[in-house]
Amino acid sequence: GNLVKAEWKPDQGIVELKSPAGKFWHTMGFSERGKQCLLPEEALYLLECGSVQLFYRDVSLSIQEAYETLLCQEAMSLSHYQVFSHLKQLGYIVLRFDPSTVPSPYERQLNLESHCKSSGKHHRKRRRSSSPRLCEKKHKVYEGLPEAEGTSSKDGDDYGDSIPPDEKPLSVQPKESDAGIAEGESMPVPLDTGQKDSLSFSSRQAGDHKESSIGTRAPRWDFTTITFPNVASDQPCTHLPSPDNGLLPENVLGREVDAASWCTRINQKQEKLSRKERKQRERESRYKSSVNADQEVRRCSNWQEYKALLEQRRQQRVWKRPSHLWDQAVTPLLRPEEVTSPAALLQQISVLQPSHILDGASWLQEDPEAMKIDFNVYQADAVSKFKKTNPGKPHVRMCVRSFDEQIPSLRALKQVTYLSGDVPLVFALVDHGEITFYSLKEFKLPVDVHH
Amino acid sequence: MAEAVFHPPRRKRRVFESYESPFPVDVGGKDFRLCQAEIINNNVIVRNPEDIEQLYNKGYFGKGILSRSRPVFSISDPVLVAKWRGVNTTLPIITSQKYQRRVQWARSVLQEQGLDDCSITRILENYTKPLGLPFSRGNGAGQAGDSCTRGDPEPGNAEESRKSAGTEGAQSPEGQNGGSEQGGDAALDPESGSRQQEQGDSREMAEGCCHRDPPVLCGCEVKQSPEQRAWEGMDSRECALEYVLVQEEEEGSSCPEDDSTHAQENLVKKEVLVCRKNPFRIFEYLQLSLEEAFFLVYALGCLSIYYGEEPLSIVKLWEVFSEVKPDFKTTYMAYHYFRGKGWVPKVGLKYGTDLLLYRKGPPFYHASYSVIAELVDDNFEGSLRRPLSWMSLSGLNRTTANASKELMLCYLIRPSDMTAEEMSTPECMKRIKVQELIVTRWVSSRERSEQDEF
Repeated sequence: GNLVKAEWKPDQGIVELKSPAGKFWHTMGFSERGKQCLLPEEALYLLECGSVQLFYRDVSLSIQEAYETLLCQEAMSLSHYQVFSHLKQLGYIVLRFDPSTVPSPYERQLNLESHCKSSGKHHRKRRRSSSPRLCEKKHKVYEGLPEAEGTSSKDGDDYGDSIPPDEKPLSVQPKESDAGIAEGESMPVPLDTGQKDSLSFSSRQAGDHKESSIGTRAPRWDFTTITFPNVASDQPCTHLPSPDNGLLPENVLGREVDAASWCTRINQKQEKLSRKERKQRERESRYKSSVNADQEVRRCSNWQEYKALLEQRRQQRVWKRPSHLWDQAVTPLLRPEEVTSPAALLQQISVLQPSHILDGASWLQEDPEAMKIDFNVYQADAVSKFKKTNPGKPHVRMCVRSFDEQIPSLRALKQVTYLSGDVPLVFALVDHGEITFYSLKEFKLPVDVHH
Repeated sequence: MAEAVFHPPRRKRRVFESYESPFPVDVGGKDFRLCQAEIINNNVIVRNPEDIEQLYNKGYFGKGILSRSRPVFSISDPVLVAKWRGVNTTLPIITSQKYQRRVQWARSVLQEQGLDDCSITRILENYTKPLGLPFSRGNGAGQAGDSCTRGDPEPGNAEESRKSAGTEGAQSPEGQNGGSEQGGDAALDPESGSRQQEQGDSREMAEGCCHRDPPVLCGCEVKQSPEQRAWEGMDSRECALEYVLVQEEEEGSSCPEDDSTHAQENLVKKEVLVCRKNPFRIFEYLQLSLEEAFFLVYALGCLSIYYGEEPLSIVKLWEVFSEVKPDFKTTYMAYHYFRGKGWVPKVGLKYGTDLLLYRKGPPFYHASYSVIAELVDDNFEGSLRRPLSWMSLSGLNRTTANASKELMLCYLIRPSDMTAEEMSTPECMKRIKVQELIVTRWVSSRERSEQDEF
């Protein structure tokens, strides 16, 4: 038949048909002010198909010229066109995306998909009839927690949905032993009182000595009074009292010493370590910590207590509740004696929260930087029932991107997924005419429990 | 918006193992075993053979340093084992050449220790002398256990065995390195559960050799204090002897008086298997990834990790591992999440990702997912460990799909008010959310009817 003639209208950015449209009118084009019009990509496509003849300023455009002239808008670049053309050739129906035509979740909930919101909104590109139509009832409320898909055991499945974080049984309560740490006052005795005690110790020793000569069974030493002198580097112990004469051999005299003056004469130079030693020290400092940093050690006020602590730790070390794991601020998650099934075991160790792609997405919508969706794509076998004026829900929506771009951040992905409503989203990557399509989809790995 | 469809994992066609348990800890806590590991050069190593078995068999934790995954290293030569099928033995069978190499190594070790050549020769000759009768083909009859005596009564021998064992003990870090170079030797088929059995036998045979005399060079200390014994328990097993069967040519099998018709027979030297002690035993250890090790300690409480003599607390480990591997927290959280779902994550290095997820374990199903983990804030943005362009994602997806796996992005969402202090303990995970995404390729030209799945 005859070629349909069409004219490019640059100021409106559309193509006006000069002769009646052919079969393509079923899925392409729109009416404006009584005239049949085509979008630039549609016109270019039809030109390439040989269905229309394109004119500009009364000159018939070659395909080359048409490419240059029609694809100068931001909304329809060469990449966009290539995706459009690719899909059209495969038989899809491809329309431009219009965000206002996407029902909000609320509207979907109320099943308002069949009613258009645009009774007040007129678009150059599409005009909808305002008469209500029946639409598919299917709607999803996805603002809540996700439905798990796939095979999974009933136990693990509900976990993510039903247990709110603050009621989790695993929240660690500070243990009693930690409470002790807070009592900083029961710390090792400061130096001056230490001195006093040691002085009193020696005098008491003399007293004890006298007593023990009378009561032969009483032990010579009263261990509870032997304090644990603090000789840490932060508490220089330079004053040494005179020792009890009873402890010294005969004819050996002891005396009090103040070693402070000597302390100033030693350790004058910084020890120079070899490279190997320095490396070793670095490595060790990573793993080792000072015994004084151990709160439990600090709480010991005498040797007896310290020895008891070491003994307790030694015993615990080979039993199932080693102190280095269980007497700490952070303990292992699992208490095996508390779980009665494999599913319960998994539950006890699962501490991370699940998140859905649309969580928090609704308040990201006002971002001007947000990615735009380019096309709505309808399947080819929907052609017979397709109505331009009410296309219905697309099969997928498309975002056209380029290969050297970064993949969308999670943020961008949430925004654009929300924008797409309940229609799957596909990214079309163009690389010199070659087009690949990818999708990044929400997923929840099902729980796998073995009995 | 559609969610990705869960494709059930593909079962492997040939499964050689039976499934024991998802974790080294049982429900109810019966038979609880606390395993021990140590940090050597920033790696977490498990040396005790029973611990190794427990950790690998129940949950597939770790990797044998001389094996593909399950620690199945044995010096036994499968070709020889097949050749000597008739001989009823569980000992490893090696070539004479291989045995001599080990003798050479033992010699150089002793040389390094300053012994003179005469002593070395004497020690080695004594140590490597044949034990029991050599057996040739057709000589079945289960001589293996009998011919190799249980331990050696002479103190001299015990001392020598301890010396060699001591050299092995001292060798262990280098043994690992040497061992890994020898990786080629250990190229056995992985389904050789019997090999472990052999090692177990030889170990049993020579048990208790160590603590008789004060050792000269042995790695294990004979202080006999209970705490030492508990810690050093594994070492005594390491000092156990390994008996091997060496294929050698028997001397004097030719009879000069035979006439010419038997001349050919003279030239054929008879091959026999001689039982000897292995002077240079290589031990295979289990190496745990940092994530696996931390999980065993923090989530299950069934592992203690020592640095030197000190076992480290959970918070300390969290800190230390984060220093060793800057992204440890991120990869660990992903690891913990998937373990908490009952899947087995292994390292994804070969596929350019962080984790591979297996259902039940590598022996049963092919890995289903290849996972990349990223930490983002609650604006869902963050500095990415692996910023991907569409191009690289495309390539990654292709290689993943070629291996019949699906590519998964795992985002760990951290609240913005989480302080560094909060992140300094693993308890921070309670406030972290996980978003999984599957990357799928949409094929535009697929048959119309198939597209419904999308």
